[in-house]
Amino acid sequence: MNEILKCTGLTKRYSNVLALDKIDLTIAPGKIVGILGPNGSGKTTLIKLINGLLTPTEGSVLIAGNAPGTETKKLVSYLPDNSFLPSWMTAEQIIELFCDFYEDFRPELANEMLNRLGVPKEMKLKNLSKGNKEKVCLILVMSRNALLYVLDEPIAAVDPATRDYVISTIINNYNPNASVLISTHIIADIEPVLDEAVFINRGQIVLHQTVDEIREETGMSVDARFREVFKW
Amino acid sequence: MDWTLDKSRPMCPQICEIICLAIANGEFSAGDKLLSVRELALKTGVNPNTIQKSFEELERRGVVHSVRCSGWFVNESIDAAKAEVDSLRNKKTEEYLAEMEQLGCTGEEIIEYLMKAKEVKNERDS
Amino acid sequence: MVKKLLKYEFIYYLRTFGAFLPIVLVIGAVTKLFLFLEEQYGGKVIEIASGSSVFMLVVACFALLLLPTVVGIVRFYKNMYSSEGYLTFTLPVTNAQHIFVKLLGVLGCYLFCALTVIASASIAMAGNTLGNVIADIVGVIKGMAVVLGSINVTFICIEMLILLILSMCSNMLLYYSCITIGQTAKKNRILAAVGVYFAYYIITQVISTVFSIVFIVGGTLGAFEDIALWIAENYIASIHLIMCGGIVLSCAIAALFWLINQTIMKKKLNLE
Repeated sequence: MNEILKCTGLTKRYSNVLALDKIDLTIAPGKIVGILGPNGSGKTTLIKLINGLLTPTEGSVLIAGNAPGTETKKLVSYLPDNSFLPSWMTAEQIIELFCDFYEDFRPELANEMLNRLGVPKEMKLKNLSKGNKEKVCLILVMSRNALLYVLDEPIAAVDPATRDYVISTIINNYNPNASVLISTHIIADIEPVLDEAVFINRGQIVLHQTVDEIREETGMSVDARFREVFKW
Repeated sequence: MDWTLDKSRPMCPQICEIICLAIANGEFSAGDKLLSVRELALKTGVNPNTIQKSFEELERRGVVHSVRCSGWFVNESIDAAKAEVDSLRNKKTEEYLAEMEQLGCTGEEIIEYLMKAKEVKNERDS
Repeated sequence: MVKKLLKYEFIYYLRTFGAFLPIVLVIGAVTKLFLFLEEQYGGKVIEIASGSSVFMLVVACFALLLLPTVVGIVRFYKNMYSSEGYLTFTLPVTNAQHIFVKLLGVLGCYLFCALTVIASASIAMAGNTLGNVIADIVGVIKGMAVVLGSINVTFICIEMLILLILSMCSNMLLYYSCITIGQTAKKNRILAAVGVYFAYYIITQVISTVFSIVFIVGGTLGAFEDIALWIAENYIASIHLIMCGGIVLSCAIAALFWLINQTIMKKKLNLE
């Protein structure tokens, strides 16, 4: 298996809006890839298709050779852009839930990270601060030993300290057999951690290069290049 | 070591430069173990693949070598690291010269500017 | 996986209304106490107290029998289509397993609630009243057995039980389908679900009205005389036929809603 994710001619149409237009995208193992685009460019649609939360209008998406389904859900660890954990449960209970359903979940890692950040584990999620709630989400998602991590806007709404924490968690969890997909529109903070950048606009991929290639060819940071591509 | 990186340049050569400089300055001696890829990635926030590539590049240039299962080490001779730093210094000087010439300075004038700037800096520092 | 899913269903239900069960039992006990006091001492105050306590018990029992449906609907909506749905739909579980477990959870709740209602009522009536009630029920069944034959009564009871469970299932699947269809709307999804329910309600009303008109008109014209005669002659077989017909109809309705749920979840899922 030399590709973790492979999208071919991937198209998604919502009634009359074309959200994704014939996307071809391949992600190799061991890569940290940024899906970069302005709001409404199709990032979340792509991510939902990868997670089987939407079905393609045309084309296909394959994770380790399989179309999204029960098998791929075992391999993909997904952080949605909203708080997706049951708010009536405690972090402790959710750790148990993840243990029950995901064979690759590492509870000792999750516990260690929660302890280190001082997040109370016996409190219901709805009583936690917004920052702590986001940390619980990230920690649970990153505590899986998955093949593909899909993080939808993990740093959009967090404070700078948490932002650094997100990045160091991603690095700490780096595994040459697994890939990480990060969607964001705030590029400056995460660009050093990226291998590749995928610029996406109006449902189409406008650029897919390694970040060092972008810097070498244009003499610009990825952030500056992004601003140039999406200038209006 | 100062890990300030310029995001508008590729990361790989910058990391090579910083490591070479650290070796040339004696922060690492011949035969010393360097930080692991993961440690360095965490410290700099740079992608682990990029760090790995930088180490491999330094190995090609004869600065470091890897020991299976235990990491990266400075070579017994640090001449290669010194040569890298030397060529970097030369390159920077040439760039500076070219810029000053662009601004219409002759060789003597450039030296005068340099002396003056050095004096100002010394005063400020003390 | 079904077992694990079921565990979280019951954790949710226990957390949401687990406390009600002992409360209803306590109300039963209090009612018994007041009834006992009324019998022993009488008096206006105790009479009012025991009256209102009986009233409360009846209300609590009815509430308890309604609760599983209401909580089941809320649970389904929240777990599948609110932000929690992002987790639910990315667990390595099939949609069929999700729906099945949701149904099983509600049925389990019904069982617990029904047992609690029976226990609470038994406590309130403990003593002579309870004995009389049980004797009455046994009497009715015995009477039926004399008329219909004991084997037939046994089968009719089993058929009734199956019909009860199936119609609970098809009802829950109807509510689930309404929610699932509702979530395909762009906004006001709960309102859309209610709309779908009323549309279904109107359609079934129209169909049953048409049937009863046909029946009444046909009856007055004497079109069903043969059937009526047959029913009168074979009334035992007719009861079985009606029960089995109900079972088949419930199955068909349940299967229809099951398919609607499955198809939409697979093809038209659109989480907010």
